[in-house]
Amino acid sequence: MTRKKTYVADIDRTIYDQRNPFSFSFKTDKGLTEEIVREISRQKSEPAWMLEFRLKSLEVYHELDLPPWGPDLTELDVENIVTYVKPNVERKLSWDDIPTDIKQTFDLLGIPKAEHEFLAGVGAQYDSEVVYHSIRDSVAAQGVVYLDMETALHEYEDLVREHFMRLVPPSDHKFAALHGAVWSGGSFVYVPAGVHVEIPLQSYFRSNAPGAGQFEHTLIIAEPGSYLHFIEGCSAPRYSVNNLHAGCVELFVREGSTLRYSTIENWSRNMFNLNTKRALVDKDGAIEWISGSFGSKVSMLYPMSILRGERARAEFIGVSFAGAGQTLDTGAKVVHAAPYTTSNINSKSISKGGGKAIYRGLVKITERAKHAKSTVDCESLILDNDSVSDTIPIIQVDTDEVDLGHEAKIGRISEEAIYYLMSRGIDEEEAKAMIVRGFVEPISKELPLEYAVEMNRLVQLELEGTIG
Amino acid sequence: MANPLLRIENLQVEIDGKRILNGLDLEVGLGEVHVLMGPNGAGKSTLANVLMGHPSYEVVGGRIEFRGEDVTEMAPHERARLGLFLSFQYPQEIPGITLADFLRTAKGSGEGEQPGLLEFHKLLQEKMSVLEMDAKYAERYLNHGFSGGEKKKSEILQMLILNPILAVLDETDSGLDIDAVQVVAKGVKGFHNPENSLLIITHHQSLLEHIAADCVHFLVEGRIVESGGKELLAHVEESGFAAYR
Amino acid sequence: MLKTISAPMNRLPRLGYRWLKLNEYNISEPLQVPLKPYTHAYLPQLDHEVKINRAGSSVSRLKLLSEIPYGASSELVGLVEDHFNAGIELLAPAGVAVSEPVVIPYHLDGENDVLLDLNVVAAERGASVTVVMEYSSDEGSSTIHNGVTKILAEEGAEVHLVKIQRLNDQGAHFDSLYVEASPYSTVRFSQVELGGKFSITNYLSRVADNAATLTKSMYLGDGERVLDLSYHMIHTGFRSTSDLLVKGALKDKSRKVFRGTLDFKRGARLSEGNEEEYALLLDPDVSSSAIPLLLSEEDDIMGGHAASAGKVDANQLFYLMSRGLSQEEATVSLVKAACWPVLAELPRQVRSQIEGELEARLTDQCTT
Repeated sequence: MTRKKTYVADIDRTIYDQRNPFSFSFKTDKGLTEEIVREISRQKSEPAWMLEFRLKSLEVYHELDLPPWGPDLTELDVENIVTYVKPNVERKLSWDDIPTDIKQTFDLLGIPKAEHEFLAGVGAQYDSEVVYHSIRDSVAAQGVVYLDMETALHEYEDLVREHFMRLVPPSDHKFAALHGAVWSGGSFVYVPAGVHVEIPLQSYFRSNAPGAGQFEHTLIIAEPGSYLHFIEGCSAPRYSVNNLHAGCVELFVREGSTLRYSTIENWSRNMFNLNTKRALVDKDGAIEWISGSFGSKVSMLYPMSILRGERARAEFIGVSFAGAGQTLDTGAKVVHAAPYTTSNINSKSISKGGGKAIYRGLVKITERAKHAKSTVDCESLILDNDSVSDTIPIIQVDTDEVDLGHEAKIGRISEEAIYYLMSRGIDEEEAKAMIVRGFVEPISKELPLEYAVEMNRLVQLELEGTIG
Repeated sequence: MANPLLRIENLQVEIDGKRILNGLDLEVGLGEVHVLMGPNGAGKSTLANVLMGHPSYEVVGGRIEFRGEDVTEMAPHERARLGLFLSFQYPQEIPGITLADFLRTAKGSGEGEQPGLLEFHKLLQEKMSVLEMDAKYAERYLNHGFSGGEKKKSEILQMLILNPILAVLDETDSGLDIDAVQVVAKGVKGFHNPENSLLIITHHQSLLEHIAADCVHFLVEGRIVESGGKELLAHVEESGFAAYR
Repeated sequence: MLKTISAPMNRLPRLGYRWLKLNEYNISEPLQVPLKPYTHAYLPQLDHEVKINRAGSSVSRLKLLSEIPYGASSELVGLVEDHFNAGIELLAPAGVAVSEPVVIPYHLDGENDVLLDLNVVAAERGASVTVVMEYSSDEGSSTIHNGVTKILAEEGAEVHLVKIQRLNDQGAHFDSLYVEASPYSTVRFSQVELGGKFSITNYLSRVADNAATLTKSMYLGDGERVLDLSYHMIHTGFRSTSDLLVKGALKDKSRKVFRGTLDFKRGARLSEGNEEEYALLLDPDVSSSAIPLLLSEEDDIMGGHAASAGKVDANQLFYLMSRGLSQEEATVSLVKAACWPVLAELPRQVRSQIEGELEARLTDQCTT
């Protein structure tokens, strides 16, 4: 019998690849020096402690080495990355005030429309600075604060100082230190106790400048008994030089609150996406990560949940799609540090056209986490034999009262499943498309409809001719 | 029969180089109910899968004609669109696709356009209630985590929705308890009319107590060794297939 | 003369986060190994066509084995290659099938306290052989075992290797195993790890077209034992099969790291590999880590792994106790039940011995 290969079309990047002429009001020189760090701080008229923090981070950055594990980062030349690019615009509260080229970019990405239709607030970052930020009056009236990080640093200085890079200290790894030194932009969210934000907030990060880095910082504090769904989107046009994204996300989930953090990441294929995300979850709280990774040249991203209160819960649902030239090294880390904590990890990856999809995960159950429960489910589809898929989970248990299960599967689309669908009148192409859609369905069903459509659009399927 | 719905001539089939069907001839006319019986390993499921166009089986000789067309080399979905249906002995589980979405897509691909959402759901609910299936199953993933009995009901439900001209039921009654057999039989009986035909492959006679067979065939070692009327059922009950080996 | 063992062992084929300190096993302090002879007899008299000699006695093609790096560390393998003081060279000639296991009893005591065994087992075309290697020691003596075993199964051959380690609780145990499975051959490996202060084992198999390597392993951690068990199955050929099942129980303050890697190389079409690990946790102070890697460069394969850990099932325990078993007896029964798939693979005479030992260690009747 002839075996047919499923061909999954490359993601149609025409929308994302719109690049604007590169104009800016200020940018730093390439590379990383104390002068540059001081200049970034000066541009932002920051309090002295933040400058000090940045300089300390820079020291740490020079002390740390690159991780000996994971994807090859030799092509990433930090010395040649422009760390700070200030777009030619001040922060606006109305889309109408934003320069036409930048506004058009966000229009194409559908951000203003989405804001109008189903978001409680929107932040839009263009290169290093947030150009737009707004929140619905009704949500603001509940006491919810949604600001760009720079404004928050001035208006809520104490709160920021108390939490900033406490979960992800600069000493965590080299790119966390880099972030600490040159961070710029990002969002600050504060949800007061008991407040349920019924519709999602979204921040969109757009990197336009070639050879530049993006280092936004997201800090969310969900006070006891609150609920928030935060959506993060990222994209960039493609340039021939490498860009770097080393953002940092710190989430404080207080007692009894639930935070859902969704990401649709679609950076261009010249982006090194070395992002660090971490959540600290108190008693009866829950963190829910929904993650779709489609873009970038190299990604290293392992959202970490630290369950420090009793019955705290972490969910991770992730899909990654590695095409030609991509290495997506992603996964989830969970530390169970209190009794009766639970975690569920569900990861799916697809690799094609020579792409590498790697799941790298950790479940750590400490001595204190009696009666912890954890399930991990990893599934990988490899669509051709140029592609690579690795599953690298680590499970560490330091107590006996646990219930832990881990399962992983790897392989191609089952011929029998294709035949079964075809026997019901569905042609082969559609049968394979259905199976792949079914494969990512557990993730798309968790997203708001508009994003699920977006994700399904990203996973387009075509059938290639018969091979051998 | 001048123009039978299904005509199989001298069918020879191999899988992995091993011969399974050995010159099989069979004709099924429109409106008829045929029963195919035979010992384990005789080639009954092979025949069902070859009719549907399973890619692992190789037809090395003979031909299959369905509705006057040579379908021997046709892809499974083309056969399905021509009105052929197979109720699988071991249906696949496909996570991520709900039974309802799948059936609506399948029905649309057979009929050229997707049925309207409301109209389709009405049809689905109606057929599910015939089979005494909980409405919740419509939103569950296709056969995923279904029990053996639920899978068989799901197969018959698909038959009722897709409304084929020839339905091949491969051991649809095996692994079912008495109540479930009755429900499935009710579904099959309600489906059958003078405008369609059934080829029932079975080990047991439980389903046949509910549906009258026009013709009974014995399949032994890859060929039909005996064909006749209902009286053959009694024969097999008494003496099995030993005489035909 | 003394040699030092200090290099990291059982390094993962893909490294992970450093802070967990699980990328490799690092011995707490360098271990001095005196180079001295091993004088106990261990060569069995065979009354069939299988040929057996002391290691190093024949200049054979057996030495050509394993050109790729293998073993717990190159330091450990090199020490044995250069300074072995025991070992066998076993050859099952083409077509010879022997069902009676060839038993090699290695025993350590106060005088023979260092064993560096270099073993080569070769089965020619279509041959079939079972080899049992036992490692035991007298109570009270502090001993070092560092061994290397290489297996070559030629086309269509079947080799079953059984390794049983029941050293006393002071013993150091390092064992490196390399398997070359030629087309259509099957190599089964049954491993029982019951003793030692630390037990570091490393298994690497290369699986060619239509070949299979099937491994079943059981362990018991008690006292302060450290177990670091590594398995790496490299599928190089099409339609190759590998299967790994590791089951065990941890009590007291024992620690275990399981490393299992299914590795499908390009060209391993239609291959299938599975690994499963299950740890029964019997005491609050145990530590159990599992790193089941799944690496693939080929789409047309099936790979799966499962790892789980937990306490003895409370319902099962209750059920057995309701039939009159004490909690301890019931626990022993359930551990045995969990390990049964491994026990069932063992030659009968060995199995009952292992069951007895398992029971003694679980109920602390052991004098050690």
